[in-house]
Amino acid sequence: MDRVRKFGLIGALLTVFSPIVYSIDLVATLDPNSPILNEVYKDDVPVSGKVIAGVGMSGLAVNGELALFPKAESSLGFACVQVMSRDGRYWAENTFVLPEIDLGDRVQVSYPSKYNDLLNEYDADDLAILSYSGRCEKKKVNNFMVTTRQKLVDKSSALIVYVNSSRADTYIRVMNDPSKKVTKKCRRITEGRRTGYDTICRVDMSERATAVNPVKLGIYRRKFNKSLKPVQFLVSLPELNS
Amino acid sequence: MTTPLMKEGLKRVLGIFSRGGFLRKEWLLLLMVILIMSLVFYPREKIFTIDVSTEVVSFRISDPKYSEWDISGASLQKHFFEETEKATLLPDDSHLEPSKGVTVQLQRHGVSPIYIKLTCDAGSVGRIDTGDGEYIELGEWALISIMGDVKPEVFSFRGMLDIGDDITTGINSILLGGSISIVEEKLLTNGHYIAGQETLNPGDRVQLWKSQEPTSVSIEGTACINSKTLNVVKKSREKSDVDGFIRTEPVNNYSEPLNALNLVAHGKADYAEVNRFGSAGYEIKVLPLTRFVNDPILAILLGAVTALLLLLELVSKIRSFNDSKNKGNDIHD
Repeated sequence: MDRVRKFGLIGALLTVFSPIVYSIDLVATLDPNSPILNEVYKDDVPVSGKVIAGVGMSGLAVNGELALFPKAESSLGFACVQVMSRDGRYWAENTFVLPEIDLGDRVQVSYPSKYNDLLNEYDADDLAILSYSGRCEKKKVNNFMVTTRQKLVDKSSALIVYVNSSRADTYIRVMNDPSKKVTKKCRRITEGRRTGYDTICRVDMSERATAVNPVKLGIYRRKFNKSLKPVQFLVSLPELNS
Repeated sequence: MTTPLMKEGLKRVLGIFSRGGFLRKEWLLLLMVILIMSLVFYPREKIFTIDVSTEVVSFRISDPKYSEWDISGASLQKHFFEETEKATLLPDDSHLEPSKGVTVQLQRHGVSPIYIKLTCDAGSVGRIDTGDGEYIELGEWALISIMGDVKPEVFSFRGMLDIGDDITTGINSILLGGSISIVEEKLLTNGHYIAGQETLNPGDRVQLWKSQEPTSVSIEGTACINSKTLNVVKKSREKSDVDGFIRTEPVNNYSEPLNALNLVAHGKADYAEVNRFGSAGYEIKVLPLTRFVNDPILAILLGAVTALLLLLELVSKIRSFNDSKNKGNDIHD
């Protein structure tokens, strides 16, 4: 009887301290007003001139292929999701309907792409996802939500910004967090096609306790003797304290 | 320890040879085909020669001693964030001594100033010997501007080359045009022949690759640390090291305004990868079977073997004709 009790206790402890979080993700679905996914996969996709191609975070647990971390205020609202491959061959922009969400909820995106097999082949840094609250028709956006992919789950915790730098040297700075107010050099992709984006900036998020939310980021670029206009934007971080 | 089964097999093989004789023409033909195909597919040294006109070129220096440049009279900026930084005018006899592993990018539009940008992920991109025993130590970023208005300049280098930029939004410097030639060594001699030539279009981006696992390079003691390439497309390849030089024409005197940067580079590689806007891009390589056309020695050998086989066929026909004639005579008798 003692043995049974001992095993029961061990089992309970393992369940409580297990690193795996068992939960059912909430699911965002395509806007019923445009039920067919607006996506293109071909060699000569016209890419937008936006500097910020995507904002993601690695090291977050997700169940599906693609997940968003919207703010609780966005509950039952809309989220625009733009997906672009590094080589520029895949591009998509779609509005999704968010479910009822609470603080810290992650939302799995139901993404009925006919190119899912191809998308799954793209490596961790080869697909940029940009998402913000509201419909995609929104003109001016500078507050993005964090997105993640299954391929980013096993990476160390970092906020990742995918940048179309126009082949300029690029630095990133956290503007409103005194503990991280250091300018960090971003890394240029040198191999393969870079029609979608060419630079990846990473901000280490292992010390989340000191981070402010939303975090204000600045992207600084310089092309030889000319500095390009800095880009500043906000990123709402997932509420991981829940 | 031969088993009966093995003995039986050996007998059969020997039987095949003994029935027709080892020198039967089918066996000779098979041997010749094996010999020629092994000569065709035997790996040979291939040298890629790039001759292009471009507005932008970058390379990672693998041998700094080949890449020291005279930058007399150039102006130097050392701080990335200070666009308005007052540039330091470098005295005569100034030489750039780059660190190993530094990424150098040159840009020039028409006959405008030549920009040389040196970058490292961490460490120092090198130093400048000002010619009077003094050195200017550089950080992880430096920009050198050369007016290039009086005399032509030549910058030699050894490193891993990226020519042009793949077209996307915000790109203003591209490859203007040129060609890639592949020189291959001749069979059984030290000679070489041109195995192929491709024309490059404006806007192409070219890199040379070796089909081998990347070799690990020790970064200990290296002043400039550049991280490994992000987003490795194929893990079974390594960028090829090339020797080359860039020539710039001056604004005055003998200038060719269209020629921004004239680059010539040579290096051993297995193929060149070309990224072309609006297409999936392609690889430039020499297929072994094209050696029949391009390698004169292999072509001569193939001709000789063909003639030999024709001769054998002729001899065989004459023999069978004589045999049948003899048989006919025997019947008549």
